[in-house]
Amino acid sequence: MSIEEVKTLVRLEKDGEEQLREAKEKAQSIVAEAKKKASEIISAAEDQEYYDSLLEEWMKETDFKKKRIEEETEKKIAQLREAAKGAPMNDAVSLIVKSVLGE
Amino acid sequence: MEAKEVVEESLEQSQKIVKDAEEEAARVRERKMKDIQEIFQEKETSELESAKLGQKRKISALRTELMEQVVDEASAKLERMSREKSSQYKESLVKLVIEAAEAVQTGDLEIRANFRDHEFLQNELSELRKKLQKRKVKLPALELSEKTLNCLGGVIVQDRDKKRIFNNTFEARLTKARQEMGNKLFGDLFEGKDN
Repeated sequence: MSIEEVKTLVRLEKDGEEQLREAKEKAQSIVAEAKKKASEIISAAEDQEYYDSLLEEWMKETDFKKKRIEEETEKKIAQLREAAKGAPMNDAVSLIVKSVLGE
Repeated sequence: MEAKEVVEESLEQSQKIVKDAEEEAARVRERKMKDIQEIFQEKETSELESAKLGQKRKISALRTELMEQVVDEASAKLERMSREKSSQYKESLVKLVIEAAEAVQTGDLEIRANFRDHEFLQNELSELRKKLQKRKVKLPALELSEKTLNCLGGVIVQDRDKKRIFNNTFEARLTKARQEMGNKLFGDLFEGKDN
């Protein structure tokens, strides 16, 4: 084997080692990137603020339902108050008076 | 191992890492959603129950308010009848004395009434004795007390020892009527609205 041939072999071997080292570095970087991405994915899923805001949003609907019940109550009260005037009130008074008089 | 293989293997590994993370994230999301749904259900039920309870309380308060009005108006009407000494009132007074005397039923009885009814009852005493005897109430004596009552109307009948007392004043009867008839009054109006 000539000197030139030996030099070529040594160069090729060095090139191969260099390529493998670069590939390993690249692989490490790929895995590190994937781990970072995985961590972000899990963090996003665990984000409590998101769930709190969701709950807050749902509770707005509950507040609306609650307000509707309160409005309905006021309406009912006004209706009942109006309906009690006149005959029902007179009937009730009459019933009590009769009961007191022992009739 | 060749450089190309090293890179390919790392790509496969990274895909697995991301896939595993996505699966874990899905599990986390599912658990978290379940948790907040439970919290929401609990909060919503509590809030709406509280609103419905408030509604019941307000309707019940209205019924109480109307009852107060009824009792006030009834009291005013009874007082007018008592002052005017209407025949209806006088008949009632006799009934109330008999009812109270029947309830006490023992010893010498004493009637107590307000000053307005004194004269009427004094004049009615012998008639009252007869009526009670017809009802087989044994009465050694039935007298009208000089001590008057401060009441709208009606009477208190008691034995001399004051061991047996029957309060048949309008005030006592109003309280009783209110207790007994409270739920019946405005029944049609409130049916199903406050319970």
